[in-house]
Amino acid sequence: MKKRFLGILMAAVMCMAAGCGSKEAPAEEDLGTQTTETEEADAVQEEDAAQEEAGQEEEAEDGQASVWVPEKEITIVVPYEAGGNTDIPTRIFAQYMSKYSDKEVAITNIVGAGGRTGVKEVMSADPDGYTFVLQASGFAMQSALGVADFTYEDLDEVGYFLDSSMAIVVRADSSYETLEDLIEAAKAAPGNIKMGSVSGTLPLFGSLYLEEKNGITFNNVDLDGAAKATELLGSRIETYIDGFGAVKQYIDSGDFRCLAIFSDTAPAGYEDIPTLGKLGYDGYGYLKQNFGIWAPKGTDPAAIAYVNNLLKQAAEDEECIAALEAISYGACYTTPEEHTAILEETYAAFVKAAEMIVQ
Amino acid sequence: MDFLNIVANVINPQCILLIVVGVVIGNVFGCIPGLNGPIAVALVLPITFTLDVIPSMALIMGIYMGSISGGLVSAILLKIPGTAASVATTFDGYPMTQKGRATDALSYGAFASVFGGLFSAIVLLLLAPVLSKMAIGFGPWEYFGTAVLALSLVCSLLSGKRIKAFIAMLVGLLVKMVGMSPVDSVAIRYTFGNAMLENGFDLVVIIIGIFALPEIIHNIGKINEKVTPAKIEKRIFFIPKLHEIKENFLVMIQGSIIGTVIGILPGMGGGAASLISYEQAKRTSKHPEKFGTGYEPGIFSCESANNATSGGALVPMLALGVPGDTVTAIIMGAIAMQGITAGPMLSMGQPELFKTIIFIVFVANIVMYLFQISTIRFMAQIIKVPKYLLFPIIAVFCAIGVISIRNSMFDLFSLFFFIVIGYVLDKNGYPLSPFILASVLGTSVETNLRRSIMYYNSFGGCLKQISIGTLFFALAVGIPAILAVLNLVRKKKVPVEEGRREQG
Repeated sequence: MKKRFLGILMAAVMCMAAGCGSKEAPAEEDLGTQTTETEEADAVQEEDAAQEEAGQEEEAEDGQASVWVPEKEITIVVPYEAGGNTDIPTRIFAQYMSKYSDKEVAITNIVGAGGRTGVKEVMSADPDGYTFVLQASGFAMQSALGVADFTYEDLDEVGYFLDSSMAIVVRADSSYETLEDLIEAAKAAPGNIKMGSVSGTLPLFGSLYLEEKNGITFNNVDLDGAAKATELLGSRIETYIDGFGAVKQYIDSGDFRCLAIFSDTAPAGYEDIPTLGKLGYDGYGYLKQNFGIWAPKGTDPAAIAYVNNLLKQAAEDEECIAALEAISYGACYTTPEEHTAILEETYAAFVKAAEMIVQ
Repeated sequence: MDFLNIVANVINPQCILLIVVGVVIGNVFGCIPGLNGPIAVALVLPITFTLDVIPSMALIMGIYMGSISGGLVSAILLKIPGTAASVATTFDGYPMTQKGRATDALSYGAFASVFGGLFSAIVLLLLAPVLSKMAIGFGPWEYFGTAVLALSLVCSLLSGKRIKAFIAMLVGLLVKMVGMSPVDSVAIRYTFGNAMLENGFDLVVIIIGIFALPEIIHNIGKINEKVTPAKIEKRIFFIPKLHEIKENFLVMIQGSIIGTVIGILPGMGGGAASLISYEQAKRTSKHPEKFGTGYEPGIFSCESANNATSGGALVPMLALGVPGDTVTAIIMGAIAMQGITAGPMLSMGQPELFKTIIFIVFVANIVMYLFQISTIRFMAQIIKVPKYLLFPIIAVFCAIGVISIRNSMFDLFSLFFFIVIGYVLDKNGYPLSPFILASVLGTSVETNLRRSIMYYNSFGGCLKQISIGTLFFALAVGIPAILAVLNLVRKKKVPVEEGRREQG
């Protein structure tokens, strides 16, 4: 009897476990992280073999070292929440990368510790050319602040693909008509103007930049990343800095007034908003919200070149440009070398800027 | 004409099918511990990119509504709350199952769910722009006050166990402090150098560890007891009787209002709503002693509240562009992928789309209800499974669920840790709801306190603010203080022995 019970029990547990597995499998497939089923995979492999041959022929013709062609889908880890400000443009971009790739370019979200969990996961991943991670401007900052224990030197750069500018906004009924008004007010009452930003993010450095350039101090307060606008709508703060894409709709709806944009040129349709460049500021290049791709250290340069080429093709795709513009992001393209050079500069700039915080 | 357009947008084969699919997926995710609505929505997100706005909303809203009510099935039948939102449902739902009234409990839960869901959808339709002002009025200090008041009230209402309730609540807050400090992420607390602890404990791990598994351990002693399970009626639909609805109508209205209001406030969520609503129903009831023994209003109050948070959470998202909870944050992302930004421009610029989304919420709620009442018959079969088979299966399910949250074995070890805490607390008569509420609200309390101090320079500066936050904080401190004084006065009058018994 006992044995039979045990048998039933085991069977039941296995069924449950299997049931659970099969329930999750299709769901995971949706996300695109699951490898394809065996039959498909076989077919795919044959295809790949053909492609590889073709690739080798090309190689012979071009006389290059090696041409890397993916055999399975490429995963880009977005170290932030699905559906967030970083996730959405990356997903849109990945769709267009897939368009030019032999294999799907999938997005996985590994969330935690201000994005560091995802980066660390990828740093320890196999550098086989199938795993990449989104590089956000935040990591240079976190490194400068001593929060992140890795720098750009611990990963391989693949290239930038997105940029957007920050904007400083006040309520539309505020008495600050221009950035100058705000700065004068801050001079008159040091440490009294409540300037919002999410701690440890780029907007905080935007605020520090303004403080340093004008010799003023704000009362820098921390905002909830998901509910920044409500603090200004509710008049609990005087002003805050955020990505232009995030505040655009409040400017459109007439709730906010934008005092300045942290760039040389204003976005299309908003030419009447002054830029820091026009206002005579300089050295704010590191305050750009730009996104790039990192690969684990030691990834095959040929694989990096392949993905970089996808970035280039997607960044030049007109539909892609339009889709990103709709949410106020601009597609851009750099080579891996340029990416490294910009990061080098950015990291240095943040180390300098961080000294202001630590003081 | 406008209305007909909206109906035509939703009532078509594609949309209805997507809503049904969404509700089923949501229900499954809702009732399996470790899986939840946000995970389900995040998983279907890539599919929605290929759909138009309205069909993609149909799918997502179906999942959202389904996942919120899915939790009640496992909560009532097995005492396993799939999410924080269904913790309170176990208090009276599971005792009803033990009394052989599982199908009744499920039908009450389903009815209260659809009631709360529809109530909040109506509120959303009529009052979204007005209510969004409420979300604007709430800053860090107000959130801090609200959260502290909620914690204080839940403890104070547990008369007879107040001191133990406060101890359990403080242990809950302490557990939530493990990991990186919020706001500045500089201090790493109570991790003992273990990097896995830096992100703190996942709420689902805590809930499963505290509730589900200690219950199994507790029942192992009775594993061979012969119980003849109640007969399950072969009805197709399980609907509560009219007089039962009438008797609990006010409880449901109260739960729906609490749920909607809490849903509007970002960061509070269904867990807080259902626990507060449950305690509120208990406080206003004529028979507070019956709560926790399988009393119907217990189920009606918390299930109406947790579903009402869905409509509430959509208010600030649709009207302000500020998501009320994790799922609405992902929904906002899904809408953004369609090139539409949720926020003030949506209701003004595209009123038809705005109303269509709300209409989808209505339909999804109704589909959810039909699905639930027609599956009660099959779901209830679970209780017929002998315990020696059921318990190991549940344990395995819980373990798999916990591992799947972050694909981390470490979470499984922390699950064992919480099983011990849950068992010890329960065995010694410490109430578990303050512990759970503290782990739901802990991060919010801490973050908002730190922010408030940044805003007003010091804690004293916060207290000088004339705001609802100060009032709530004063109540949170004052109510337990007054109760304590009353208790002391009474103790002086009665002999010491009796006083001790009263407190115990």
